[in-house]
Amino acid sequence: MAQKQQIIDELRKTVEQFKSQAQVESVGTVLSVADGVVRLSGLSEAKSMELLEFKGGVMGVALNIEEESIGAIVLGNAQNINEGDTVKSTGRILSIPVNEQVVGRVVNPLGKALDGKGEITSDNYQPIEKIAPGVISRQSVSVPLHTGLKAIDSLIPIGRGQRELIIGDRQTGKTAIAIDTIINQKGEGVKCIYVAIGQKESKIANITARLEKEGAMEYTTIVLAGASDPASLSYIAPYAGCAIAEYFMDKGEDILVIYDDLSKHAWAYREISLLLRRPPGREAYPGDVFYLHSRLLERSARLSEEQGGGSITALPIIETQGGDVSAYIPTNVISITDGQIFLESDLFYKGQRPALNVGLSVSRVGSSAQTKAMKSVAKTLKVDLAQFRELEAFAQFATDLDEATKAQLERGKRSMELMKQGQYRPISFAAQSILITLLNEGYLDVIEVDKILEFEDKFLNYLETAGSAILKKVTDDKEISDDTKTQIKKLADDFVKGFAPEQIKDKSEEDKD
Amino acid sequence: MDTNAKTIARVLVDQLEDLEYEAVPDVMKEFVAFLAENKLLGSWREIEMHIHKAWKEKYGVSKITVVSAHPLTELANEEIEKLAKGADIVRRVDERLIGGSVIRIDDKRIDGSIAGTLQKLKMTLSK
Repeated sequence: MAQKQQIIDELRKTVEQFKSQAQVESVGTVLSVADGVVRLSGLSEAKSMELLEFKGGVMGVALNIEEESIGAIVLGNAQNINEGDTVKSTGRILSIPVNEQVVGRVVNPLGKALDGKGEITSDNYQPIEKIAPGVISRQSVSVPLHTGLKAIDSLIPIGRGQRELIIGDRQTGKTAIAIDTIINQKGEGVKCIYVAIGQKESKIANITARLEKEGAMEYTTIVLAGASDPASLSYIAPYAGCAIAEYFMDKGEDILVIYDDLSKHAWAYREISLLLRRPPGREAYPGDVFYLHSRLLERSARLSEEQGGGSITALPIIETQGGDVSAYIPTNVISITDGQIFLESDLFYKGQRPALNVGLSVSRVGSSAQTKAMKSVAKTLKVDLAQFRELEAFAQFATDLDEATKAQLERGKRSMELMKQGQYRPISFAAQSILITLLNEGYLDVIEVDKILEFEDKFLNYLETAGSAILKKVTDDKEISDDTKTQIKKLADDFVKGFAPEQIKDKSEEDKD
Repeated sequence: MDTNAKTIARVLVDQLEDLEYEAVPDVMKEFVAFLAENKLLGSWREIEMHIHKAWKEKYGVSKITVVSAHPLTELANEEIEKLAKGADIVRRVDERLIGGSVIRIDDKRIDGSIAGTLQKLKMTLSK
């Protein structure tokens, strides 16, 4: 603890160094204030996105610079701002303090701590708006980012530096995929940033508690603009999250950013734009709503080795209304991102969770980052699922099917069943590829469809104990050689013998039919 | 119309240069008659806005506000008037400043008050 004399000396030093010279400040006057948007006169030297200081230390940002006046948004409580008040310009472009301290914290978009664990003190200010890295400083996606979800890692692989949209109606498990992905980054050397835009604070409290429980808060930062915060904070939240990510990317680290969700971000921007009297366009969004998201998502990149080789992977979330992906904001973001994970309510209520629509979901660049092990087994799985989708509708009407078709349908059903996965239970890519190998090799064909997940559970336990050497080999080699495949088959043979035999269909009886 | 209003405002400001305050009503009467003749009365608000600008262009400053803790002395008043010819000068006394004064010249502010200095000291210490 500091001594009394030390404190007094420090105070004396500060007071002696304090200069009380009068300085010339640039000031303006509030002309009008309404719903967090302020019109100002004066401040003739204000720059776009410059921080302004209102009475009582409330900050604002200059957005509309016009000949006669300035339109600004208030980043906080605008209730105490009155017409005629003096506004001071700070000469500082909107930026937030970032350093290693932000990891494991819940902060607001201005970098202020919200978790009661003390303020984040940093002299390093990162600008909220920044031009995305150019062509020369980038390299193509080549390292996988495993979500720990079988359906995604096998069929729609994501690479570090990719932008993969998660899209679906409300209550289809969009956030669940994002949180599972964060949990799965444990030990992978990926820092995570979860940006909550206009979210209920109770939901964020739950997420924080869950991440803490899973030990994932150690490498995660939550940037929160709550539902009760002004629209201006929701508007800058994703840029603030991206600024934090850029700080770490510039140090050569891999970052995962989740923007939950960009529909609410577009709403906040629409509100601000209309209050600033910018002309409304389609669905009353302003003309630059495309640029709003494209400039944000373009900042996700995988930097070249000369630039440190860091990366930002972005998982933006969009909420659709009634499954309509052709609305304005969804189509915009679909066209900006490198693929989408499409979630459907129908599948969700049928019990297919994650409710992934395999046909409509794509990943445009991720397959080049997929591990050899996964790539080799996912090929067969993709074909099986495609054939299953084709046959499924047709088979509902037909009673007499030939053996080959029946076999395809049965395989398809099992493939779909294997794609199901519980929340907060990510699986390593090695275990995933071994499981899919079993499916491809026909080991699951003899298990009843509703017992598949039980089989999976028990097999994974068995794999961790009896098959730990195989698991380690696949993890290290990142591929399944013929030799490994033989070992997997042998392991599976042993396991199937021990797996409750009454659940295995009696092949001989079936043959008699 | 915009250029028109700008030009009219400029001409008016030029005309009023070196004129005593007593002569202003006559000039204004003539000016309004001119506006009515040219059907420009509808845009008088725009012209008024441009007068502020033209004034600032011509004299460098259009408005000076001096807020001081105590009433200004004659000498100080004279000095200020000498500094900015043609500008509107508003003088106010605010005891909350404790001592010194705050001078605002259009969109620049110079805070030389004791209250302002104390505020700055408070910010430095809280850092």
